Amino acid sequence: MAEYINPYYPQKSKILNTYFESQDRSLKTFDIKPIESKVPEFIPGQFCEVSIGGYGESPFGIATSPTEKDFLRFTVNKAGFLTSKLHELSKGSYVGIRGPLGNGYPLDRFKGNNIVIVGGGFAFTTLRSLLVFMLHNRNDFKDITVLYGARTPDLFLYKDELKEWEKRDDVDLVLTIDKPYEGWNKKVGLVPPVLEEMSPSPVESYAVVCGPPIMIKFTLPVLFKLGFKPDRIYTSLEKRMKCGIGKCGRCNVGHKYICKDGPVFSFEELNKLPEDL
Amino acid sequence: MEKVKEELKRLLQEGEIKGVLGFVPSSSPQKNRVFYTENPDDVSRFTVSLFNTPNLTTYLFRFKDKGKIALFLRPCEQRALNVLISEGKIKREDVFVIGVPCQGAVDPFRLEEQVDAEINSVEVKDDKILVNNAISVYIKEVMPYSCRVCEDVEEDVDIKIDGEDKRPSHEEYSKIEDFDKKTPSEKWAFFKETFERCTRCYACREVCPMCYCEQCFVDSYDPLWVEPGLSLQDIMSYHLIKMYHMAGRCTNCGACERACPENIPLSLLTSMLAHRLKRDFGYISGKNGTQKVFLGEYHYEDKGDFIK
Amino acid sequence: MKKIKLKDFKKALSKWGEVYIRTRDGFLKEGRLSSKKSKKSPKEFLLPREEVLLAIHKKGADTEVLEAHPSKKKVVMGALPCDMKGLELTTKNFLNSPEDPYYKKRVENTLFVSEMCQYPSSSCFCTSFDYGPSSKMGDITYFRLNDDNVLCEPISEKGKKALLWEQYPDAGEKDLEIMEKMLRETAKRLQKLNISYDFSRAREVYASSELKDAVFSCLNCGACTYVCPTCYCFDIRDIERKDFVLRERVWDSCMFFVYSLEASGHNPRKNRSKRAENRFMHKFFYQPLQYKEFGCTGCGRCVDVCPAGYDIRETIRSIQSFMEGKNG
Repeated sequence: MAEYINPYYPQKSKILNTYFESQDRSLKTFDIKPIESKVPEFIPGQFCEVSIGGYGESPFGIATSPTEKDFLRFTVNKAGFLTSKLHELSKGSYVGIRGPLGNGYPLDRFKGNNIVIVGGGFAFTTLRSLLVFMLHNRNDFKDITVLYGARTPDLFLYKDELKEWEKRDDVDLVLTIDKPYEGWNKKVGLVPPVLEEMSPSPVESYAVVCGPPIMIKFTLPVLFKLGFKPDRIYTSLEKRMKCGIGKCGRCNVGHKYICKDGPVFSFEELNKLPEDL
Repeated sequence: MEKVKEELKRLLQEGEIKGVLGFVPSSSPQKNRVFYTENPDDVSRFTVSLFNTPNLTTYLFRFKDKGKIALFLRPCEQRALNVLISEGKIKREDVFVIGVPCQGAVDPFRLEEQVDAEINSVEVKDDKILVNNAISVYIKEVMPYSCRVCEDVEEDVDIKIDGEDKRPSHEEYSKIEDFDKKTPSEKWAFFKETFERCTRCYACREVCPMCYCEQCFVDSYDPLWVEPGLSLQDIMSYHLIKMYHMAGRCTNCGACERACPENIPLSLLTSMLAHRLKRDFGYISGKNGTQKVFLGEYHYEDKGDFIK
Repeated sequence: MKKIKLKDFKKALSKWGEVYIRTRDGFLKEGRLSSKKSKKSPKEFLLPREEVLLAIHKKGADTEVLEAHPSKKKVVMGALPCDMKGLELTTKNFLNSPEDPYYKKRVENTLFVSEMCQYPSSSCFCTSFDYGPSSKMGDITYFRLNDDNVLCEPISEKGKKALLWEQYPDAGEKDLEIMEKMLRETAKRLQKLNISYDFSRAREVYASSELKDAVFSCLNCGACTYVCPTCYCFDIRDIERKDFVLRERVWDSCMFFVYSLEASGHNPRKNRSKRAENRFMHKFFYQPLQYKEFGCTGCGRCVDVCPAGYDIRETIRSIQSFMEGKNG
């Protein structure tokens, strides 16, 4: 008989560390480790349902790379009921984790290609996972280009790591902010025009775009103009999910469930589905 | 009715109105289907009868800023429109009111329960409905209580269908006054028995023109006012808080009761609101489009003795 | 098939578990077997209106999570083919990978005794799909010969083991003839719709004004979704009790504004008609794409329960016309 697994059962997990990403304290990162089992294996782009008894569950993209095996990292924007409660928790507290869930980025397809990562705001979580994974397996990929935009310098995630990556010569990282800001001497400008200026080559390339809907909306035409085809542009849609395992019906887009068939989709796939986003 | 249809057709053709909202026969003779058209040729399909169940003003929110919409309204429904106008939700000039002579409105689910058979045909004969050419049912027995205690409206219609109001056995709020005489435990027993059937499908909310909040309090997670299940406590919390929100606004049109597939006599609650409003404050909600919102004004002589 | 007295049949079944029979309202412990379809489908035997999944005990800062194990044995008697077809469809959703352990437990603990249908109503259109009133479904199926007798036979292994079949006499030729005749009569009285959709046009249909117009009357209450035998959407909620929290699943409805509301405040189906359109699409396009079967069984309950007189068959027809390129 197959092993009995209850996919609704949360693994009891301990918060090893927490830190605020931004001075406005709206973004907090949690390093979490299951206490009764190993850190599960996963693919960049997958997510977990994080829960607190009495406050429910919410999906969060895994920000660690599969190559970092000590814990799972999640960065949480304080927005609702559960996320506000999560923000109150500190080192040593327990939460429930279910996952990894979802499909993750198509790494096999990405291998041997140039990868262009375009991220905005706090949607950089699974992009960090992807980037760290690729840097760890650097020879499997050709050029890696990263464009990361935020409203203000304060709202970038993983600032220390960004500094490290900027120094590397095997990744081209560009940071941009929406409007000029005192003390900021890097790029200023919205993601779409900056991307156009960078004009990464579409030849043997894949683009991965994650960010607020408005950014995605204006970034896509730029990518198309640069010559990227819809089947070579991927995004992650972590929205409307409840059960996380394709049962509850809430996150459907056409006949696909975001939680199970996604959250990572190419725009070729999305273009075939009914417009329901 | 034919004259009105001709006029509507003309208004549509000449672009004076954008569309017409009304009822057409459905596959179930006991409940006509809500229908909207902008095509003059469709106007002939509209029907006006006892079996027009929802209050059409509810559908008006779908046409915000879309032009002038004509719709068929009974007096209590005209009152609902008046409330929405005085609350600033609908502009009178965006609406073309077709006054409907009222004979009351049948609760299709109550009729089904009464005849206990599949309904294939209905025919109105005086104060009765003949179902399937065989079973005769008194109209007043398959109507919400609200239809027996309805209040008049200061008529403000753009066109009127000929015919007299033939409201069923108009009576004073005797049932409400009788209910008032019950002991608290009797009242609770009544509530328990009637509301236990609620499945929380929210048909009563969705059909109500006063329930226009984008997000209802029952759907809020934080704060969580009402838990999601079917415990009587939660069902009652939903219905009673909803009634609080109806105070001074509900025009007792009875659409909620007619929409309830479980036959919960919701209009007893709304009739009680109307009764108190009239008895204690001399106020009739939606009497016209100019009177102030009931809870939006205060008079020194307003009764306060209900606050103990 | 065997011929059994209805009351003996019920008594024998009660040895397997608590018997719930089809009444006008739903499947209840008390009441008489009705001569109509029930107002509610029996889906709540596998997916209850509210169901505890986990109990989370708080022990100071620590917590202990306990699982619920539904274990009560129940017999659902008199489920009609449309009810059973509905359960087949929800089962596809719940038992595909990963298996839903709660649903699975309930399947194991429920004996479905289906009744071949002799009660077509004007809202029924089951023969539009790949089954009909004479389909033998569930664990055991029976035909109601008259008020006192049924003709029945086991279908599944569970059904074979549920009764001591050899103790009952075989049905006579004449009884079987009556059954065949009655079932043929029933099928004749059922409305059959032509539904030949090109599912690859889902995106186009969802964006069409034909669909939007067809669902106009829908008020977006949840009545149809609650009585529907194939609607299975649920929400997971934490309910606080004194010393513990219950993680429950409760029925949800795609008709409600909050169902598709996202944490950001964005709602792709903010528009009422979009919610009704999505429901139609799910039944007639998305489920066929997912499970190679329509998500509608033609039971007609949504037609019966709708307070606005909406009839899904009219939408089916107008989309058929759309498919054929005619104007509704």
